[in-house]
Amino acid sequence: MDIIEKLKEAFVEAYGDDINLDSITADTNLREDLGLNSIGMLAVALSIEEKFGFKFANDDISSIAKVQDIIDIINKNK
Amino acid sequence: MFSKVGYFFYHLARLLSRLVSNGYGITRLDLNMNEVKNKDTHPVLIVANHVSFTDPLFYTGLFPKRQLMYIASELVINDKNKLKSFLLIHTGCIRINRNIYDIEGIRKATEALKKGHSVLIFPEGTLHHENSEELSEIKSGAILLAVQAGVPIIPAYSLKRKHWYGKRVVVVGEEFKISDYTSRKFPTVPEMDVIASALMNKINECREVYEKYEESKAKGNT
Repeated sequence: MDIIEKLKEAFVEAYGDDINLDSITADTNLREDLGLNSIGMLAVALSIEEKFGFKFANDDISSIAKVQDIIDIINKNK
Repeated sequence: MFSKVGYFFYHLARLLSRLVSNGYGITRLDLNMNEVKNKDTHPVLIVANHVSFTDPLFYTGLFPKRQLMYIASELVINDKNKLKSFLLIHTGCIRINRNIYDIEGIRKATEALKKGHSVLIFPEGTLHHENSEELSEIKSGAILLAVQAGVPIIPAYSLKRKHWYGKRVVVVGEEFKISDYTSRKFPTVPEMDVIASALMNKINECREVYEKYEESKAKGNT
């Protein structure tokens, strides 16, 4: 399973059916396109941590704007 | 969780707060206005309104069997008053920076709960200096924390004492279980917003009991 697909699972865990998975690509902006608020960002981050087995630093999360930024952090922590 | 200095100060602060709370007097009421003593020890997230910097002191005295820690904003901890700052850091305070996505703070609080501590949080995110009876909207961060740690929530409501010699009254609601509001292990963000509103209602129930108690006390019926 590629990273994007696994990330989509993390989004579903955090948002259930309220999120349009088809719209999620590497270029998707989390706040502007998906409407994530601060709790949403944290919930998604915690779900990603569990799926990918690493811990985000505060600076990591602050630097996230697009899905690609998450992918970069995941690759950095591999 | 604590350095040696932190451990010493944490337990010294617990002892002092129990002495001070008992000395000043504090009354814990349930939703039926009955005075109760807390005997439970299992970890819980205590969610309360915030009216005074001394709130953690009173809540530590109110839940003597629980190893209470509390969440404070980074801004409060970095106060210009160095003594206040020192005491906060060394008396069981978990820092959360509300201006960033503080996942490390959430993790520390979760870890404290999983290790058996109870945690006190003021989810309105601000101190009500005016002793206002109105509650601000509760933020879902408290729900996220309870979900991550898998602990129940205890709602509570209190106001400052009207006179320095009066007893501080705290109304403590029944345990609030997240699982009663969702079938999922981890509720979704929209569900967390709904649960936060339900929790707000529970704190308002405590507030109503508090007001009735104060009213009946004023009439001399208690």
